[in-house]
Amino acid sequence: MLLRVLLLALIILFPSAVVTAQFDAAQFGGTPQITITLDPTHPSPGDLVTASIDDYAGGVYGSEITWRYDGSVVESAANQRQIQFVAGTAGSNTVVEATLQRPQGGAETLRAAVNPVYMDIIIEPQTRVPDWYIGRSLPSLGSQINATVLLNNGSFIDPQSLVYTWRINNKVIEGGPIRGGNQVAFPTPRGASVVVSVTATTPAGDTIARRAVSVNIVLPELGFYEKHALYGMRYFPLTASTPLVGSILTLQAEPFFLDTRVYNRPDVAEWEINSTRTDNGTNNPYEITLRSNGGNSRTNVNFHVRSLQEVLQGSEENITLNF
Amino acid sequence: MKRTLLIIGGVGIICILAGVWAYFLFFGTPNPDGGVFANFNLGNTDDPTVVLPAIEPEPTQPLVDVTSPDRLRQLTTQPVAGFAEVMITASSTPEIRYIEAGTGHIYSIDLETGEEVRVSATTIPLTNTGALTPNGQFAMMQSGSGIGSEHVIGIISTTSDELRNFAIPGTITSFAATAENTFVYAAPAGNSLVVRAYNPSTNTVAELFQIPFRDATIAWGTTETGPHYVYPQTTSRLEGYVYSYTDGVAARESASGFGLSAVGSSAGYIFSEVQNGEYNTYATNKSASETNATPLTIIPEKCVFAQTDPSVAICGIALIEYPFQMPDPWYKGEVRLNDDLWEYSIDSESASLLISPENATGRQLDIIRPQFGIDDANLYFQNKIDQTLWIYEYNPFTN
Repeated sequence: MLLRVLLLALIILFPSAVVTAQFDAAQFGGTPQITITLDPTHPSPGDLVTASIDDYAGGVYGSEITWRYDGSVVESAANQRQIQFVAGTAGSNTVVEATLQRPQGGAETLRAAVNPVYMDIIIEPQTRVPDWYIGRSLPSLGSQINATVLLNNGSFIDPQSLVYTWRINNKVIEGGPIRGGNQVAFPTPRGASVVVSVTATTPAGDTIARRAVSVNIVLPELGFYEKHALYGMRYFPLTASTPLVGSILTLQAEPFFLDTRVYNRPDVAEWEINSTRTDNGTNNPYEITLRSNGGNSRTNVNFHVRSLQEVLQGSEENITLNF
Repeated sequence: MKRTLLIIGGVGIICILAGVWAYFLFFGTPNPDGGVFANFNLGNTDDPTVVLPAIEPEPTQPLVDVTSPDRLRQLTTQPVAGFAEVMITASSTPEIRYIEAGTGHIYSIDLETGEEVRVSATTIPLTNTGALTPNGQFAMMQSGSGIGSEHVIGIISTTSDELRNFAIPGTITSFAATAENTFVYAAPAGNSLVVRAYNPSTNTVAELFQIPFRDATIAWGTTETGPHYVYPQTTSRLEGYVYSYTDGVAARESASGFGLSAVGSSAGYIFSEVQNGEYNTYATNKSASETNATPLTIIPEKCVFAQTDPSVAICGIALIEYPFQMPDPWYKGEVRLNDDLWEYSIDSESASLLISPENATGRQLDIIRPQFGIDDANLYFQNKIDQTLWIYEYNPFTN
């Protein structure tokens, strides 16, 4: 009896909470809510953003629309269903408003907040480039790619404060979202390119930013460079027309974009001189010293490096040298 | 039978003679460089009308003339690993010091007399990169490359040509000297880089900032505080972003794109990137918060900003159609450039030609590592083709 009285008292004191909970029209497929949608949904600073009134049920019909950007009325956008603007600086918070003046009376104001953040996805392929090469390596099939995402809203956002969901070719990796997981490593899949995407959310589930990048996959390349005993590597590749001075030449085969693991332990690393397999005579499999026999001579030099587990991890090149 | 043998023998001899004739026709220059006609080289003649050529003495110094009135001059004939214009004392005249590649020997050239002196004869084998402090007392050198590389700090003696030196432990990916006579360098730490400053006078190390990724290129500022411009190592096939670090605080600059590289100062920065299949250059003016396309395409690694006017940069620029894969082919050495020296102002957004090395000297220069001397009076740079050191008197009346 006491319980029934208590329940009745609660219903009398808090009627709205109970009614809302039981009869939310949107939840049960009633009139959908009119909202503002942003494209892109999570803009970077300086992005051109389109804000549109999302009105599937035609609830805006006949309404007078007034747009405000950062509190100021956008006169040119009067009665337009969408406006375009440039996102502000990183960390800025701008509110876009659309006020709908209904023909039958009454008004409704829709709001959307724009919080631009930079979301940088840095791809660091674990393939080999020469030490003197100042460019970045590129991924080749089977090699590992390290990816780092950096969010900046005026300063770097602490990675530990966010949850990251990584996808490779639209498949979630690492078993799902990871708090603080702004760095991942994954093997380069087959194909001409791989799409790496990442979503950063707060621990409460609000999305901060989302971005995808397409990464080209290349085949390893090989170049021949002259190695000077004193000065080290010459920074221009040798070609058949390169004039060679002296009777001794140390040749360095420089693989580009070869998996570092294959570079360090190649299954095949073979030199051929005039089609004859040759022992290069040093501990460095990528280096050979050639001596001229005197007079003009044309020498064909071939180098082949490859993994036998992943046959596309390799390269073979030859060069004709004129001593 | 006998006659047949004679005929066969005769034909054989004719064939052999024809073969010998053909060989000499196509390959028959035993001394290709010795072809001097009408010079019997009799020597020791008493004929007074004969003028014998003077015998030039073997040069003992580099074949360069630092006192030439030309504003653009070659300073060394040997490859150089690092260089700096230094002032030993506040009252002394500036001199250029350079580290010889391969040996690590340090030389000093008096810019007034042209006299060259070896100030360090201590050999640091396989030296390929180096930096010198503006007071000329300290050097930092990279010896070797890859895993076997070593970074050495050298203390230059004023009384002998011996270099006191010691190695910095660990891996260093990039380093530079600063106006405070210290060295700044980046060292890997996990998946990031930590940037430190080493003061050789006090033998102390200070951590300046961290870069949250490993494959970074750092366009060092002239002081410890910066700004230092940092971006992921450049390739036309991957996206890059520019960050600046001033006083240890990172800022994300607005530039991003494929093939992105940058160079900057406190006034702004120049960056190039591949857009819609074209390699293009832009300049950002920080005070005006504006980014505009530059009138010429520039590889930012060929630029340096002036210290006296941080809105002005001097760049090596080749007036060619750049391939869309840039700058990768230039990094690999597949593309050689014939640069002119240009001055670009990010305030006026205009470029003006300073000098064409090919017109001035007849040499084609692929300019790298440009660096100003004291008060921007002289600009120094290296020619990528042979790593030699050059000087251009940018503002000759300053000193």
